[in-house]
Amino acid sequence: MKKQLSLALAAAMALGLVLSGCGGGGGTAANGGEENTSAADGGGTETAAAGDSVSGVDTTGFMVDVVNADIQTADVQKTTKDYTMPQNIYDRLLDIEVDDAGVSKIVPSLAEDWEISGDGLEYTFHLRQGVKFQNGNDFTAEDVVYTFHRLLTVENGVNTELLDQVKGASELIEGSADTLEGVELVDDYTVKITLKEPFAAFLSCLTAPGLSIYDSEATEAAGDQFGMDPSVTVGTGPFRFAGWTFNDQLVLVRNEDYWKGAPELPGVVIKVIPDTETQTMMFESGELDLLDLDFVTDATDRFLETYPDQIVQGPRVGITYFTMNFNIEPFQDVKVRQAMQMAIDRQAILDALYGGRGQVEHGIYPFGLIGFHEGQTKISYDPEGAKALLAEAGYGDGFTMELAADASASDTVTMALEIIKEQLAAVGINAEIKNYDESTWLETRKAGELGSFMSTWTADFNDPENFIYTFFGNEEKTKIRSINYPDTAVMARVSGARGIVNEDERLAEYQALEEKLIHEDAAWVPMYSRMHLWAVSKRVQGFKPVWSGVSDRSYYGISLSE
Amino acid sequence: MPQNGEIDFAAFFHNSLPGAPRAGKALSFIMDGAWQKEGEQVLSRVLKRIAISVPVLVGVVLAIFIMLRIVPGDPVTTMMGEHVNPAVIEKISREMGLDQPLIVQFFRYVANALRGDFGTSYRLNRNVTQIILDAFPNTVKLSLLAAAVAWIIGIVAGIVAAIQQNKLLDRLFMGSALLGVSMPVFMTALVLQYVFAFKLKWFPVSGFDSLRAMILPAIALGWNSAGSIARMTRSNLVEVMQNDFIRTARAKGLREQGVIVGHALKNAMLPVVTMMALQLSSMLSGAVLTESVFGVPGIGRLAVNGIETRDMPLLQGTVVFTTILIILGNLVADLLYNVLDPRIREDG
Amino acid sequence: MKDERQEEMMAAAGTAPKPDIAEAQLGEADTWMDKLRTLVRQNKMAAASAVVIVLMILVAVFAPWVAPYDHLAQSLTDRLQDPSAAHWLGTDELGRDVYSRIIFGARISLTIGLVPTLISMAIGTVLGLCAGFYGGKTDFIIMRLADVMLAFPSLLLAMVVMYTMGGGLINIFIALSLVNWAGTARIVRSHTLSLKEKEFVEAARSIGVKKWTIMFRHILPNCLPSLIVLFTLNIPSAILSEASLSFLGIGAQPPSASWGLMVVRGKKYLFSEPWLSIAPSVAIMIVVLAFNFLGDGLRDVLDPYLKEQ
Repeated sequence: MKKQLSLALAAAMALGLVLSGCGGGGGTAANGGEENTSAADGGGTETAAAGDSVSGVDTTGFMVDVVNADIQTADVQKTTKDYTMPQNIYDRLLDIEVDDAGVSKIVPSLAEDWEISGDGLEYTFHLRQGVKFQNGNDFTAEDVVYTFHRLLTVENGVNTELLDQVKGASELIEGSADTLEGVELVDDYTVKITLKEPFAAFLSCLTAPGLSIYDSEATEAAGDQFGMDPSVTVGTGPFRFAGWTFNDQLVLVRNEDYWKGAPELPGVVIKVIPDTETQTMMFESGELDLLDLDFVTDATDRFLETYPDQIVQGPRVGITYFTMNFNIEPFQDVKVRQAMQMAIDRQAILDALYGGRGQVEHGIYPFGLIGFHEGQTKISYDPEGAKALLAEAGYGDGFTMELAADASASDTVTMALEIIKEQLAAVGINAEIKNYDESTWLETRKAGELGSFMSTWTADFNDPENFIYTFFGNEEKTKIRSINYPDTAVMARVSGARGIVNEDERLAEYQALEEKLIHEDAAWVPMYSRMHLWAVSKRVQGFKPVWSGVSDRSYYGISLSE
Repeated sequence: MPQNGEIDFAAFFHNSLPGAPRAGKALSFIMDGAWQKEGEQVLSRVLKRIAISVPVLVGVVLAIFIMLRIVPGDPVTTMMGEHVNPAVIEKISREMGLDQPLIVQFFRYVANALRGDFGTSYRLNRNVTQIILDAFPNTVKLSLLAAAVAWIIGIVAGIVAAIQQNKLLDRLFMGSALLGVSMPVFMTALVLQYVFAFKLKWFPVSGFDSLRAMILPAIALGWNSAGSIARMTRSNLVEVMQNDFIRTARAKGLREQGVIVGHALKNAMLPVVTMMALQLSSMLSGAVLTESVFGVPGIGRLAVNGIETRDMPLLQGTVVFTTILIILGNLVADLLYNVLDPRIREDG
Repeated sequence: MKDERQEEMMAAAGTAPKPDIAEAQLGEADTWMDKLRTLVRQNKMAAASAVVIVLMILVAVFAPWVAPYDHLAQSLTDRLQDPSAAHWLGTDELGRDVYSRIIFGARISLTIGLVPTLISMAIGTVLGLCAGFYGGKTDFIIMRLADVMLAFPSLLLAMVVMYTMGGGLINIFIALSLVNWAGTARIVRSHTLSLKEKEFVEAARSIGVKKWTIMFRHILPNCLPSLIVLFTLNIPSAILSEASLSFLGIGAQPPSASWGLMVVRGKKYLFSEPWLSIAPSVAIMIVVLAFNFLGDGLRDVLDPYLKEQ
């Protein structure tokens, strides 16, 4: 079937070309003789030319990866996405390691070890000695102090919330202080961090890409070119930022002096290709070594069939949820909310849109996150039960509600809404899809007035706090998510849980809160968490997904077999 | 016909239809050296044309400016996304001058634009002019190649169709030329890419770093214009062939093909300059799509970036820049045509 | 898109009608039928295209009766089925019948072709008449506005409008109308300029006929042949523009399926279920070609310049 199609298309197009006077015919014929050259040896040779002309780097033998949109900056203090560059150029004080069972733990990185005071307020980090930045400067405690200070003061800075809990952070942001009180340089290789109040997730925070450590001297000298001009953007990481042509490609070159040992890859070219079919064709023609299948969700089934041995996967660590605004009729009624939970066939949606790759979720913390709890109460698909609950609540004849679609959302989200609409119709609920442009959607949501919507929250760092506090931390938090959960006592507990020093107690409290919020109060419809899949070319060895909610990747540990 | 001394565009377009008598006149006009006498007139015409372009230019900037300012929502909030506190948003708004009255913002923008400064991109934190200038050469290369493709396909198809007027070959050639106009550009691009890069492997699937890589994008973009050119060539030739001087040429014993190709090309080349400028506008529209499909880092991509990331300065800069380009292109073509074609002067 | 066709249409529509023809049309009520007959006789392709277009319109109007299935009915168990006797063109990613969706899509795509074209041409005609008839400042202002609109690459302008207002059918109408009026205005203006010097207009004026009456009763009818050709040629541009906007994610919004949106969504399955994108592409192609051939044919018949041959 496929072959016939391509033949037919080829014939039609060739006919068109020949008939219309061999417009490009001369060129195509001339090139026909050397066909397959590009396919045979992958992207390496193709991109070599580009690398030569653009960044002065010979990219022969480099691995070729692809992104669907160019990054804004490699300065991670100014972006909340685009974490691939930070993952590879810089290191953080701590790292997350995922074992084969998908269980993650915090491990030392630039900080070799650390002590936490009994009250959970003081963290003392002992830094690794002999680490050098890519420009040859030594990594010392001063760089840590500088980095954290810059995060809170740099122009157009984001990610400041990662240090919210550090003593003196808000004073520094507001300008009433010049220094960050809570970060103290003890000696060249020791830093002491003091928190405002106990915050158990702090170590996890330190693994976030947003807290990558910069070189104080080089970064200060680079000014606003840091992250923009590859030559001045340095870190301690396994790769050096070597070239960037906007909308075309990014180039990373191996850091020979990397403190964990130089990477095996000589370098990486990251192509910027917006069109998903082009990405697919590039991969299949051997022009790509790595393809994030989240870019080509709809073609994933085909990839699994065609390249069963070339798929790498890991949990996405993000929860897709469906909201019900407590301020909108009739969602004040817990029976209605429970009916909604039962009326949506989440497994069917996961199957239809993602080929079942992932798992249906029943709470707040997705699979792969610390705090994920296998034993929580399950929600089952039960349209009859939903109807009964609606009747009990006095909505036996159903009601009309809004499904708020964000125009910038992916087609898959839109499709999910279309399916949900149909499923709700089956229990008598008339859900109408309303399309918003991105900014109106965001503003309405932040005003707490948005109707029901479906979205996904992916982990910024590995802790349940990052999820439950974001949505149910206090009145303001739940309002800007357009949930408007009303129980302040529960929210006080959510907030209080952040300070529980004993890890077991803390996780137990988070589990109890999840049970209360989702099962007793039916505060949202947990949908699913997904698996994140990559296709790798045959020559790629040792690629492992980074633990992270976002789709960035680390190239350290990869090698190419040739 | 022209009112207020300016050139009537519609009449101008009409006149740009190549006709044999005109070509003959143009030739004799140049050969006789008559254009020297016309020098002064041409100069005043040039000045007038430039003078009309200025209000259009201002209008274009104003139109874009207004359209982009009535976007719902606060641009800074949208641009910063989730992880930012309100104080930062306020600070950035102030820095970008968004708290100023619209009219102040407009004049500031125009003043900066006149100095070649289109502002700073919200998302990319860099100078929009620099981003555009970096991307510009790629779009120029793509457009020029595409124009070449369009002309080759268009003129050949047009000539054959005209010779075989209303016969099967006419329909076939016009049909295939029209195929490019009748598919969505991105589908044409995708199918070309699928067949010639993916299946036949004659070209790389994406990239724009070698002539070979540029061919497919150029065909995808040029084919779209080829249909228009083919139809124009055909209808012009059909007209030309009825003319006495062709009949004379034939009577003199010139072979038909020779007659047609010779005169047709001569006549088709005259408005080449004009058509080029006019095609520029359609090329730049099409480039938005072609560049996205083939991953060409050109100006069209910037416009898409601007839309997708809601980066107003980037979108605004790109649109203003391309529009200025088109106005300039038209101006140049117009002036060249003025020199080449005496009809306009006569009518004026 | 507008641009690639603009110059051609202007030329095609014949900017300066021959005086004798212009006047001749006035007296002969039956020329329209003659012209139609000429069209059918001379240009089989155009005639066939007209039939195709009429059929398409009928299909669109009677979609609920023609389509074998409800175009919105999902069936998640029957996703992405190959074409079969039950589903002639297979099913899409939500298990909806593609053939039915194309039939219903004809409604949306033809509406997208017709409505903005009608609006923009109405605006363009009125402005062109005013500019040509009143001349002076009115003319100058209107034509400079037209210059401004024509200076934009049409797709970019439509993108800006959609960026400002967001996606959706109504906004597509607005964007495409706003983009396309200027070409019509220019052509109507130049017709008006030449017509208003004609004797019959002078005569009407001298016996005190109102200006608006002259404009709409005497001048407009003489612009009709050009307008009809222009109309036929503008429709496919609008349909293609919408497809491009859909590709950029700022076109029609689901679940209403324009052909353009179907192509864009379907192309994700190009390698496994190619019919999802090819079927609506072919639908677009047929309609666009039909309108083009019809437009060409009409021009041959209606354009006095070529008719003389």
